[in-house]
Amino acid sequence: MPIFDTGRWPSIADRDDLKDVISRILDAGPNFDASFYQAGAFVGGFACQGDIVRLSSAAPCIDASGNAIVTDVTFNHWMILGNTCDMHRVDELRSQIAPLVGLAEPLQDEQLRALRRYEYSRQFYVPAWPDAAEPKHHLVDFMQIVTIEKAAFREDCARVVARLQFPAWALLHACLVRYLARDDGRFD
Amino acid sequence: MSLDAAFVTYLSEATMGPSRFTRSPQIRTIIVASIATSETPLPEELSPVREIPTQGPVVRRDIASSTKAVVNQLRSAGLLQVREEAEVMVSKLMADNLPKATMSRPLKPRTK
Repeated sequence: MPIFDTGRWPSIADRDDLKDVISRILDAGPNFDASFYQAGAFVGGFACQGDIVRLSSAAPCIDASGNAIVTDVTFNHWMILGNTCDMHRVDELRSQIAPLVGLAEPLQDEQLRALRRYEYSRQFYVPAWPDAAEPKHHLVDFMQIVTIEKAAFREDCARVVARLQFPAWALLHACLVRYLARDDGRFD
Repeated sequence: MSLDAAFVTYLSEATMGPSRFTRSPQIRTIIVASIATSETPLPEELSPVREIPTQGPVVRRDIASSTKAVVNQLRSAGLLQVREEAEVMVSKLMADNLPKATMSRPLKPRTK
């Protein structure tokens, strides 16, 4: 059975290298979906940044009164946003995930093209992954990042169902950095 | 390494942001250094570029500038530039597709 490649990815040396890698996804055209995820099934090993995990859970939140709450909205899939190196560290017990919001079909061609240009800052588009029970377009919502105990990443709980290819991971990484580091205008 | 300083190195994606920032009272200075890539052996390429005091009560302008440099790298590469029209379209998609909560349950009342 093929397994995900868990070897170390190559470094990105400079701006031109970054552009080249990310463009492999942005300019993939009809090969966009095929260029996004690794083939194969997850059969062990540790979870990585960008992995999509099957986990039915609500997103806890601190409400307007300062109380920790949970709503009746349950998400079925989440993306790991925590660094892969922290997933590997025994002294770090937690990581971060964000929920995937499924988009109703059908999307207009213009909408899909825009989603695949990643010219928006608070969400991250992902296509349907191989062998998805319900193939859908999804948006990872950076506005609902949740802390999770790493021990939950196991076959019977937060099970990995898809892993990004290197260019898709580089794209995610750039979008995450852009989301966290975008100018807030305080020093203008 | 003394407790007076800590090296912060870039684990770079061709970005300029410090990978870690600590406010430990024992550490009074952070020396921000850059290496070509995370795979590069440290000693030959390490070149401290500036020192940043850690005692300021708020994030300082120079740190904000470092993080802004990340976005500038993307912008100068012509990548992932945010467009208002795209933001509006995605916001509408989220509003149309994000399930609406019908109830919420407190996990534990806040203690004052």
